[in-house]
Amino acid sequence: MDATTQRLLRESGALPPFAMTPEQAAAQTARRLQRFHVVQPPRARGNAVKYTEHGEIDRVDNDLALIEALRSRAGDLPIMALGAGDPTDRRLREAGANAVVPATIPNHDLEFLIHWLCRIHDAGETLPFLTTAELERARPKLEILVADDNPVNRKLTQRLLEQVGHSVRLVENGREAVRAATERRFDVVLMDVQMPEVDGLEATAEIRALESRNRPGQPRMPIVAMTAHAMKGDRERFLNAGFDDYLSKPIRFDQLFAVLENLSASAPGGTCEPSPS
Amino acid sequence: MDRQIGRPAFEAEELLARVGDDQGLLRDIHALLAEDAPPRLAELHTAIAASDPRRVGAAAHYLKGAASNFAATRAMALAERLEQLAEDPDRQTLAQTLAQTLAQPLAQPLTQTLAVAARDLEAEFVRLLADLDAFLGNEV
Repeated sequence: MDATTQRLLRESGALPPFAMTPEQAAAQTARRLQRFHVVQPPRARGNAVKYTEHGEIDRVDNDLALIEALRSRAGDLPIMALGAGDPTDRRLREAGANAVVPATIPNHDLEFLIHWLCRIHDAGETLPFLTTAELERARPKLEILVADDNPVNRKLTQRLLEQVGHSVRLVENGREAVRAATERRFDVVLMDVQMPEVDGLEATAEIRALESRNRPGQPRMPIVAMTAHAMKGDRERFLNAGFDDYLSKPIRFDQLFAVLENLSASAPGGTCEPSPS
Repeated sequence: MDRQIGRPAFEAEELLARVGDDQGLLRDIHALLAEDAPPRLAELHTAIAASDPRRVGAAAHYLKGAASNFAATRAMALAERLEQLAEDPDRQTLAQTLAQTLAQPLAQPLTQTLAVAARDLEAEFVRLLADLDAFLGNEV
């Protein structure tokens, strides 16, 4: 895991948690895109298109129009070519694009990437031209503890997380989760609520108690509740119980990645929202 | 409920979306379910025989979760009905009243209702595993 991500996650402890829907996460990404003059080249595909309804995006029909849009830009906003075919395209660079986002990346990567570019821009650093390999390096590699008594759930969650480069430790009940969490710090804990032996609520309470005893003043480990109940009022119940967010089961790709993204976005100054001015 | 028996035990499109169209992953979790479901169903029967509503509820909840991973709508509904019967005292009373209305013996009406529901659920899991087998076979 790279230093920026580590810092993002270390800082995330004390802040109020999120429980965003994938739609809300997409809207947040669209707001971040307002920091840029975004052009969408002809080859851009579905996952880029879904943000256009939220913001001002120049959609161009062909490569020439794209270059023209880049050359004739007004204002000081950096230019992001969203969903461009080839991130190393020299013409895009020469025409003044500041960042080029590859066309073929999945949604959860796109949201991470836009957040990342937005933070680089806010820090006053030069925006990169990204290749897929650079994106791979930039993406946070989290160490995640998954506690679930159902072997199918464990397998599914593990596979989804490992596919995007995270490393996963699996445990089968709350007692093992507490033991694992005291041995070392995880970047994120995904905790099933209803488990035999020690359930997710008890385990989380225990982890929080141990944290305040052994690591006072340190940011707490982000713990996400996984539940099949998803009833009204659950959110408050889980947040009061020491969880930072929750996922309803069965776990879905988009929701899982939206939650992980939200946890890193909850770091101080990490939201990268348009300034109120 | 019987109308649904002619249909596949799971919703293929939803299931494929859930595993990201990953056939290998689907095979893996199918094998895990085939291994995991029988002891869980046995635990359900044992808990019913022992008249232990808490254990019945926990076993049914587990099976509901297992079914939900496979978008197995009918198995989920059957497991949920069992969970509700076991955990909600009002529904227990309701089930008791129902069983009495159906002229079942008064001695163990709830246990019988639960046992029937558990057999339904077990049959549905057998069907789910067979349908998944067929589905994976067809996809090769």
